[in-house]
Amino acid sequence: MTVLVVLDSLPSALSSGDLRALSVAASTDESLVVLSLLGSDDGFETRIATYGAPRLLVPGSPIDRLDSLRVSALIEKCLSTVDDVGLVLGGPSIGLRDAFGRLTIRSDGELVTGVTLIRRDDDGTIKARTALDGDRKAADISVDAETLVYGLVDPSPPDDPHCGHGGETAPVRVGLVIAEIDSPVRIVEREPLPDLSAAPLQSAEIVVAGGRGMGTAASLRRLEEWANESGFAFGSSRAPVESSWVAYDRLIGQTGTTVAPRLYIAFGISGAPQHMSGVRNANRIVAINTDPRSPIAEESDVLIVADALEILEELLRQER
Amino acid sequence: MPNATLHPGNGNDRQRPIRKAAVLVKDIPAGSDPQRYSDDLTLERTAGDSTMSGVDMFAVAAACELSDDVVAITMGPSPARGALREALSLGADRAVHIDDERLRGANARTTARVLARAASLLQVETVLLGRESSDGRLGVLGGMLAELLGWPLISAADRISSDGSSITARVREETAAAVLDAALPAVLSVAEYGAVPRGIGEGDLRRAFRAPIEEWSLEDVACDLEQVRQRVIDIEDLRLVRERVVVRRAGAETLLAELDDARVHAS
Repeated sequence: MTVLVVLDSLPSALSSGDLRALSVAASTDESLVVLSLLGSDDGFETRIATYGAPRLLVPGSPIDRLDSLRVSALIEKCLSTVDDVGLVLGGPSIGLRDAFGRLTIRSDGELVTGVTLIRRDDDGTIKARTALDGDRKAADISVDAETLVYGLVDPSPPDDPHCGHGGETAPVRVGLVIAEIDSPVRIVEREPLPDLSAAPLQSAEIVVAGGRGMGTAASLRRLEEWANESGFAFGSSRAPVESSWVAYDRLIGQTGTTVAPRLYIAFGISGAPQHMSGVRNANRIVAINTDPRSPIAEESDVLIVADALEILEELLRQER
Repeated sequence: MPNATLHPGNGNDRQRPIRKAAVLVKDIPAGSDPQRYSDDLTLERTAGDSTMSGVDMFAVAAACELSDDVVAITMGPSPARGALREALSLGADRAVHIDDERLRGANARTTARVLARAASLLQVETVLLGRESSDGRLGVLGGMLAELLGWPLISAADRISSDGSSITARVREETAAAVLDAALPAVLSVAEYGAVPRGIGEGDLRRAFRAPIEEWSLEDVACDLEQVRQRVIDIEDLRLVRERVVVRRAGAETLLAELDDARVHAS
């Protein structure tokens, strides 16, 4: 069996979902082929060589990752070009969720989401371990043999570089050309988001987040400024977003962004389950809260029992 | 004309651009307790309280801004009717409840097939849904529906508008936003705050609780069940073990040490 890994982030800055897809694929011990929707850059081949893929496929002409019809056509082209693909893996980006959804229908495959581990048994069935219920549970899934499986991985902390076979040879790059499709979707323009200067949450190594316990919009603003100046990503729990103290883009949790940093610092966040499901993948959680019995205390590595704003002020004094 | 009370203060004379729209809503377990699974490893959907999945309210709001004829559809056992009542109170005009014992534990593909059939039968021009449900968090239904219906798709959209022949919407990625335009009919998955839900008045609530909910079975949508090729074989509770050190003094120093440590290890 061959595993096809589809990447849809920039080769120079792979998303945590793409990196996880590569490492989950490498751990299958099957032969790998990588399709990079946004092409490749100088060192890209060498970097993905550590995952042991002998072939790198790139689109023959630029493709927009949000155009699920064209992306689906390109993945289909890979399936007809590469022999014996039994598993297609990708990160849970908007574009790949759409394309994998389409392809599951189109090629009569099975879709598995939240994949943390996947392998083929001797009898040909595919067994996957998947994250469930905000990562509080794991479900083991079995898919019948002879079925093409599309797997969306569960994004993980970036400090989990599970590089599979560790092959030294850079993969051979092959350009794929698909027939022109008259797509009913047009990408009109791309505009940078207003807070482009702020570090993106999803791939951040250090995330600083504020909650109701910060008290006021002004103190959250100070926390955000400190985070931006220090190069940390700033996030928020639901309460400040609902009070319009913080932009929606910054919401972390079940309906917002899921983060997986090396360090997550929660300033005055009580830790409602909806929030915790978005941070549980953090390598280390430090919470600052006046209430030692708040739910976040249960799931922290370090709980600082103090007023979050006072700690921020002290921090700013000490750093000066 | 019921729309006068349906969309108060929203320009009652103005005709909305899309003739008829369906909005798909999902009933999910409410509250924060870990989900419970039955012996057959399906989620206990009747256990405890349930509520409409969070982002669905933005999909309902977007649907009501786009069309004067909005049908809310849900699939699931009887508590799912609660999600339809919520959709009605937010402005949906009709509600369809698809309930069939044979659909218990249905996977995303079966769900998509049933809902695509329902949308076809209702002859809608647009299908709207939430970006993902707050319980399953799959976010793959949109792609499946678009493929089954043969329609274009815009996912996780906000800033939605339509001129009656296409839908224009913005999709926010990590550092940039793309503006997409899709010819109608289309599938549109809506992101949080993609449209602002209007306030719910007493009249809306009265209407929502009086409105009849149409009950459909698998036969009504003329959908056969596929062979099952994917099974859940086990569900395990995970306990994340964290050391939980409690610090009551020198909080700032502790924090600085943590930051230094993380910076050292950062790539």
